[in-house]
Amino acid sequence: MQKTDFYGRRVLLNAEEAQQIRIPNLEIMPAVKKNGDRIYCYRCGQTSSCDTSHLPNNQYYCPVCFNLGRSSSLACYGHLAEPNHFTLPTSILTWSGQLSPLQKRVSQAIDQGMTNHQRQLLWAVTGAGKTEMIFAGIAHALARRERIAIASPRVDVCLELFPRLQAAFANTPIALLHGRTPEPYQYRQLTICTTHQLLRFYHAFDNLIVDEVDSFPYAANQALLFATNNAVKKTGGILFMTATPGRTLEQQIHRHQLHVHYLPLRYHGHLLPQIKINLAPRWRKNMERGLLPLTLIRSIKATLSAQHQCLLFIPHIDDLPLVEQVLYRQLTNSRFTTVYAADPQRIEKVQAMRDGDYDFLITTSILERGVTFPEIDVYVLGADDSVFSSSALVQIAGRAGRAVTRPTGRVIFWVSALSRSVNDARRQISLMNRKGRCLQRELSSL
Amino acid sequence: MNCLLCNCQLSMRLCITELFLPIDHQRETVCDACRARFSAYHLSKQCCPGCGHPLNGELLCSECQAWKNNYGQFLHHRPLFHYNEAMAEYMSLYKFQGLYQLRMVFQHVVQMAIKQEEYDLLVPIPVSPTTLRTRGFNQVEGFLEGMQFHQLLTTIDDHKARQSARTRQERLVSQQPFQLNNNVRVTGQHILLVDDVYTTGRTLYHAADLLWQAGCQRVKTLSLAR
Ligand SMILES: [Zn+2]
Ligand SMILES: [Zn+2]
Ligand SMILES: [Zn+2]
Repeated sequence: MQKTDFYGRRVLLNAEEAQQIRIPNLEIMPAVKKNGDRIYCYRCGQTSSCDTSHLPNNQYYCPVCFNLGRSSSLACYGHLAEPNHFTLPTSILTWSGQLSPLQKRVSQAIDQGMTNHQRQLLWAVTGAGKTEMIFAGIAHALARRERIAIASPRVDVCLELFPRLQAAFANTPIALLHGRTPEPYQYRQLTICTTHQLLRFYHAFDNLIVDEVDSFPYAANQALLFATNNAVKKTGGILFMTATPGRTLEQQIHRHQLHVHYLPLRYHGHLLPQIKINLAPRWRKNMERGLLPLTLIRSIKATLSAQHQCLLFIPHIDDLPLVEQVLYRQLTNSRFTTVYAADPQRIEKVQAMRDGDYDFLITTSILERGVTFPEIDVYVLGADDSVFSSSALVQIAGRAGRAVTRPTGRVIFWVSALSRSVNDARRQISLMNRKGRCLQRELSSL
Repeated sequence: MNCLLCNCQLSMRLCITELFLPIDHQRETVCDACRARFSAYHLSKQCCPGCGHPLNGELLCSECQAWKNNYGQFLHHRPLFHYNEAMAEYMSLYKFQGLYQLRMVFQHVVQMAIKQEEYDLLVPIPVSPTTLRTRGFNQVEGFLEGMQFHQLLTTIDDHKARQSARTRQERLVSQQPFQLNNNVRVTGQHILLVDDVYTTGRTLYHAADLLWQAGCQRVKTLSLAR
């Protein structure tokens, strides 16, 4: 282990390693502490009961963050304060793309917020083009010799971001960290990592950017929220980016703990299609008897006769064959299939849909990021089911109206009763559209 | 209560008849789906009396025959579960990641199996002092929690720590890693030796050898997995 491994991090050491290690000024920190009959973990900030986390001989461990190496009373952490020892390249930003006037305005505001090390939120609708808007802020931060990280709860987002960032900052070496990287850790000025990896950092970053905050498993995970706050320096700034902030962040907006930048218009300048609700009180019972809501059948027929495609979302994989059967009987001439996240033929089916070989897909998941069909309608049967969070519903609705050629699209949900998530999703879309209309007026008066 | 392995909510599906049966529902620690991934041994006449391996007509499998030639006798080993993918994952979490709470997944099964055996002394295979310091527990003793057992053996050096790195062949010729503790009198005793995983039998034969030499009347062995 070398000195740089400890800069701005907490490196787990067992008792023997801690004794043998020879690094000047290495700060040794405890891993867990006992509070009555609860165990508190310094790394993830979670407490757990002694029943589940004790070891023999009055020792204990944290059962929450164990997959980063067990945090226990038999171990400790080694830490060195972040020294910002970086050599700067002569040219930092190597990206030469253009931002739209709207993107430019948001980009400047973010840059300013990062300079002031604020806690910020970029609330941008699906399909707004977020990544390019943070380049200016990152470039100036790097020039100030700051240590920066971009984190996302999803590995696929990190993998997608890495080449784009490496191209935009070609002379700055970037560390990519996630659970599947076999390469050893390297001390870098710019890091891209999963939010899970943030648990290893301690007061490291001057600015931290968290992308796709709404997505599982980050949103409801207290340990990851704790890690985010711990990974930045006491004076550090955080920028959250999302299309649907979710309850925790919305509360922080209301309490004015976050500076919010809204980007309520898509890159083509149009609003989000609002969700239309149809009540179908006993749709599940009826489906089991071979019946689907008449309005659903009519909507699909309407889409197809207008020469468009659509996606039909349903809550559970087990429902797929039943819905498919009913639709086979009702829509004899149309071409469609079912697809789900773990479907071995998923990629082929999605490609066939793109090629127009299918009229529609029946699916349970929003498929991968970046899987967009340009001119589609979106239907959800059983949108009130608890598998659909408000964030998921906003993302699903956001699949419609992506193309300049058809910036609108129909989004219809069938529900047995209105749920909080459905209402939240509609409210978030209305809010963005209200802001979007103001912005459209402002832009047209220029 | 959640499943210790996948963290799903354990359903409490007690029907009326079950209410009157002495089924230990508090001991439910994993869900049906996780349980189904483990495969228990059903020992029959077609199995090797030495290790539980399936046989094709012979009286003893070739491995156990080799042990018998070596030691003049063979162990009557009882494995409880096949060492399959689920068991490998479990062992990695329990032993190597050190999730001591996972002892509860198999504690009951192991203890029930032990109670079916006749013995005078119950002896777990020890772990090295270094492992004990860093891991904080002996994974076999975790299963035996609450039972009376005797730790008659100690590891001589960090033998077990290096074992995982060795090839199967190297392990077979390895040196005796254990020693019998001082002042242990085992003459004429029936011993039940318990280990977590039976891979080649090497570890258990080393331990049994010490006990045979010390005058034990009989040594039986049991492992969670093989
Ligand atoms: Zn923890
Ligand atoms: Zn389970
Ligand atoms: Zn055998």
